[in-house]
Amino acid sequence: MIYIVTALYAEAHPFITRFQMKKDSSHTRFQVFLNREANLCLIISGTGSVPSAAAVSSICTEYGTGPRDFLLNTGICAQILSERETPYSAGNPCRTGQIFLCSKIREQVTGRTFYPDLLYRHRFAEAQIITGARPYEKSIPAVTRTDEFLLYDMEAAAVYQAGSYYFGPHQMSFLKIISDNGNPEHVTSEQIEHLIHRNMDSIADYIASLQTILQEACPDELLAKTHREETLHTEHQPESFQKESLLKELEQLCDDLHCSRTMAQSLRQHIRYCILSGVDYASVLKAMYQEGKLPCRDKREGKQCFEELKKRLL
Amino acid sequence: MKSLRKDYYNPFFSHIYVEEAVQDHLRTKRILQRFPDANVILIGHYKDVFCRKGQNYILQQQSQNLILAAKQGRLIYEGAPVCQNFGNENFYYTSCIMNCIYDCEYCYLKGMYPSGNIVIFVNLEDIFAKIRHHLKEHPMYLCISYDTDLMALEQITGYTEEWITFAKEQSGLMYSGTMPLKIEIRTKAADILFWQRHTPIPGVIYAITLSPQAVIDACEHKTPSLHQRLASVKEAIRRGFPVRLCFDPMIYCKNWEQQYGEMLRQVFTEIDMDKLENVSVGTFRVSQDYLKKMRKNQPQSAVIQFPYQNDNGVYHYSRELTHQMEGFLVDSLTKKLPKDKIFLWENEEKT
Ligand code: SF4
Repeated sequence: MIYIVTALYAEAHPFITRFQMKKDSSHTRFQVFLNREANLCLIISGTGSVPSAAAVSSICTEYGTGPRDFLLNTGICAQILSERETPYSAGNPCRTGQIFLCSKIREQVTGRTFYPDLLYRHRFAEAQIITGARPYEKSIPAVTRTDEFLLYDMEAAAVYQAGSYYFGPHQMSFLKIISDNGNPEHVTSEQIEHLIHRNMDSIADYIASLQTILQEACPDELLAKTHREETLHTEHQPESFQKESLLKELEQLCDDLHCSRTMAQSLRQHIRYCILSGVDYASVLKAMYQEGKLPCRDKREGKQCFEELKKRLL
Repeated sequence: MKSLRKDYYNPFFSHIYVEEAVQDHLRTKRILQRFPDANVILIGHYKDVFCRKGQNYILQQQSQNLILAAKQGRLIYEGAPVCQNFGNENFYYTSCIMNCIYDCEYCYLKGMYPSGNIVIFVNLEDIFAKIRHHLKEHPMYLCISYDTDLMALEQITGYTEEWITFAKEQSGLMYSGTMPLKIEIRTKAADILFWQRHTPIPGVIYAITLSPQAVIDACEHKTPSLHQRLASVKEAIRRGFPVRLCFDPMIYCKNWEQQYGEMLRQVFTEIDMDKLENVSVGTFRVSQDYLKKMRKNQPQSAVIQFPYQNDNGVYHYSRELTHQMEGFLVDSLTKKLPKDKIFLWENEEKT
């Protein structure tokens, strides 16, 4: 699932229409919109750090997250006009309506900085963003004096921090569109919608490639499980190792060998290795059953038989 | 993870994170010049990027980025017990780069580091100063390609060359009270031009790791083939560079004897064994903490999911298999080399 977080309804509306998302009315605290087939979920957080962190936490706790999930924070932001070009800012001409992927997020209040991974190809310019507690005004000296930062919003740092409880840095992106440069009172809802709408094709392309990446990045359920509570039996197992019939077969084998907990773990590791390296463990087991070596009568016999099995497998 | 479609990922080093404190450092500028199209992101401390929680090492390796930083705190470390010291006392290592452009499934870096990105420390001069300080007290055997493959990154950093120059300076100072410095550069790189561009320096030994082609194909991704490595070794020896061949780690596979036998046959055909400094032999071993993380990161990797035996926190092949594999290699090598040139990691002594 890709979780899209916007602060305002006007930022969300173009997504809701583009992706035909339906309101999930079971939510009362935040407005949530869903398109399950497209694996998209959108939450409108409200403006500022606390609401956006609460929204991220609420939606991620409710739906559960794993390696196939992604957090996308998008919306409008202000442009900070720097006094001079910095050595590394050249090539990013900046103007109202331009969309940026954030490469660095700085929380103005604490001075803490966060770095979402930039692993995936995209068509956006990149920029750094400051998240402040108040709407950006040209007169805020701490912001206007900076040479390095380009964008200003009120949510990104909070979304990142709340998101970090559920996602790795490779699972979060921040797309911001410039709406003003310090005069937010002049920006209307219609203008916001228009700005998002103008960039919708490129955002939709990005979402589409994220969906493909997320599908391909986890060819099995195993990584999904590592993110959640893991049980001893399913920990870090390849897909082929999780087939129900195989698990049953293994349980039976453990019984037939009178396995202790440690022996059972070792047995699973052996079979896992055999599956991955193409060793035909099934024929070895079949032969041992045919020879009457399996099932074993007791623990002592089980131990001996396990030693022989290991030798035959490797 | 091999099914990942490359076109969805940014090219390697598309982003370079630079600590503000080193943005004007000469080496920073030199490295950045090699990547004119990279997006440079200034950072406070490399750990702000390298040590973020929840990173995916394997995904990051699909689109590695560089982090240029200053190394602070300890600059030189004493050698770890699971590593060979080749009979040298005062065995040290230093880590001027963390992580590697190669992608060996069994690499302990995948269990050691939280990130797949590469950190290059640009303040080599501080490391050199520390070594000079040590050399006033005692000789040093120093591994400089420990948590990376230094020579594989030579085009980007030029660090091997800088180390060679440093070693040369030190050997020139030996009669003015400075103790000897020996440097080991471990690599899987196979850049023949390197040998043509440089001259051998006494005390700088090149430890080149060889594996059967089947092992290279299965788990030493992005590394040069056995054929390329042998050609490189041949050239190095021909030009008088001191070379150690490392058959370490030896990796088990069903027909390991045939695979390693075939590799040795090629080695003996291609390489003048008399000209080798020495060889090292060792089967795969890794600390339990690292293996745990490596298994989590690479659930589909056979070499990592092998049912190793755990003794005192170190995972390794069973004693019997270890003896069989190492014994096979040592016996074969003994036919071509005097025993005192064959080092086995297990007892850290000559066989
Ligand atoms: S070459 Fe060495 S450092 Fe690089 S990935 Fe392989 S084992 Fe690790």
